[in-house]
Amino acid sequence: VELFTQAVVSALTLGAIYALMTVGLTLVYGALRTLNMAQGAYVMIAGYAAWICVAHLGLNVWIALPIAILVAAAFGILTELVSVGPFVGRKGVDFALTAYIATLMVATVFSSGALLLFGPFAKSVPNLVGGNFTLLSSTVTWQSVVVLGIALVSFLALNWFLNSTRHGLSVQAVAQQLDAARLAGVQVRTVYLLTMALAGALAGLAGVLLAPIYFVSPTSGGLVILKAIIVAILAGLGSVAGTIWAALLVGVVESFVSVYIGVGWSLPVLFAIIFGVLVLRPTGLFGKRQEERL
Amino acid sequence: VTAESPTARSSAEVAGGRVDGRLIGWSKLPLLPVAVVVVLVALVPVFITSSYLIDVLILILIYAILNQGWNLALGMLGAWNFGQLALYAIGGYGAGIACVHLGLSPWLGLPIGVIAAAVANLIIAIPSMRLRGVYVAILTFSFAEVLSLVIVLDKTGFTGGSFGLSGVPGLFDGYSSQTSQRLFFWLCLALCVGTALLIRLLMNSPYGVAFHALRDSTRYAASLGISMRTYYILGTTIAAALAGLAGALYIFQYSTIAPGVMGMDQIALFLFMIMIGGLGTFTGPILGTFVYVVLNQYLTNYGNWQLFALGTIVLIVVVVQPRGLVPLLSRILSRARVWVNEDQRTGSVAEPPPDPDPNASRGKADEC
Repeated sequence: VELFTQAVVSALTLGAIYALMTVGLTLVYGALRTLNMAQGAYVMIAGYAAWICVAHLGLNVWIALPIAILVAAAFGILTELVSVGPFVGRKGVDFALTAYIATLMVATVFSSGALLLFGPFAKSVPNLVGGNFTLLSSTVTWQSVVVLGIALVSFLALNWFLNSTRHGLSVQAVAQQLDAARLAGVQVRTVYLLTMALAGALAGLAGVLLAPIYFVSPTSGGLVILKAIIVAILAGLGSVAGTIWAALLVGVVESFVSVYIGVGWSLPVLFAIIFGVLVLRPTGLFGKRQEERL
Repeated sequence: VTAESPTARSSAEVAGGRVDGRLIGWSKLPLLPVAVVVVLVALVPVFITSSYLIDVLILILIYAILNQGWNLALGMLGAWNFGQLALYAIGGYGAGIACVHLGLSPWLGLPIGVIAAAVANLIIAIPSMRLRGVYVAILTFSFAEVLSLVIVLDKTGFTGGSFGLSGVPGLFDGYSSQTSQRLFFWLCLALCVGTALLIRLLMNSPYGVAFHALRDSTRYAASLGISMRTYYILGTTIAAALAGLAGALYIFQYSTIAPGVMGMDQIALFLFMIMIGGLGTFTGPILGTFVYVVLNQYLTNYGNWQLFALGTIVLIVVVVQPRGLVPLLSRILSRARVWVNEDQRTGSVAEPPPDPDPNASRGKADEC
């Protein structure tokens, strides 16, 4: 029972963090129609930003959190300016493929830049809250409760933003019908920048929450993007609600495989599942066939 | 062959029975310059005795074979195959395992590697056909990840695990080290030139027209009767066989291969080569490979700066010239030709030079 409870708690925590970092990927795919391979790098960058705040500037983690989120959002905008914007509407260029490769290159530049600046060794960021309590005879950290709470609040906020604000609705409009949105007066380029900033911010939040669990290293972005891609494919790109369920599913699979089979096996098992899902149900578990997205 | 592609048939009608390639933008192969370059490259080991330099050239040739294959899939067929390096690794492991565990001659190992990669391609190509763009990228990418993780976790010693498979014999072990290196260089050169000719012949045929049609609009191609299934499998299998060939040559050159050859930074490096040269062009992958290997000779001295610099360079090139260096060079070349021609017709009022449209349609640049 102890092992089981622990696996469930870690599944929920991981699932919440994966959902945070994948929703950005989903939003960007919905609005910009390209896969942002630099999404994992924002998680790493936010981790480093939080580490600098805590270890060098001596700030509280709770103050480091918004700073890291802002830094990650800024890098999201930077990515859009460098590797997505230049290809929009350019003749003779396959937008989706070129932007995909360009974001992959941006991810490479970010991670090798981190290697240059911070060296290869992993840095650790403290938990947001310390201590633990006992649930069903197994110890649960308060950190995981806080993580779940933050994730829940962020998703409610995201839901409110997408459905009840002008900017959120314009993001949805661009995702559904680009030309119609443009006709209705939506500034498409602004929406692109907004979406990328939002994706960066969500990934940044995930980065600070993930840092105490996995540590921050130049290669952590690559691992994160693999997980995010797994979640996104399971969900079917472009469905926010599906992403959250898929993230929980991935968290469950990962923590149970780690606990009951072996730590090294969680990724191969997940990839095998992805392979199966793509072969049997090409649009993912929650994906929509038509252009209707988000 | 012609009967299979309606596009080719209609152009054949225009040309009066024979396919006139120029009508659909096929250019003639400049035979003499190409032959001169090949002969010059072939003579390099005669004049240069530095074995280090020849090793660098061999690496360029092996990478050029792989990149041409990948470019065929990615740039010409439009198959978002990001698992090409996994096929490359399969070619290497296939050849290596055949030699080390089955004790076969390396000359048998080479075709075994090629066939292994071509067969493995079916595993990813068949499900890929049902998917769209990004999903194909992820499927192929995850195939590479699973394969590399499975090899890393392999404790039986069959593949050598994370340390890699080693102890593979060379192709020309009977000769002295200099002769065997030269022979291997010439073999690689022949295979690389053969690859280029194969791709050129393929693309200047109804098959090539079908590949481009599938890349540009799958639905439109289907409406013309071009079978996605046939051409997708054909194109990716050829690309995979080339990747397998490159992998097998790699393992005979270094006598070892590790799962790291299909890692994410390797994918970025090979994409660098293809994007720098020009995705979807004939000479782009070869030029890009050359640029990369030469750049890398300098960058390896700077350690961690290598990936950072390469990534930045490719970003700049892609933003400034999304189609790579080859379309840029061919534009400069054609402008120079116009300029030279004008010079010869001194006195006469030169007609305005046909300003090459920088936004020319994509198909035009494919023939460089």
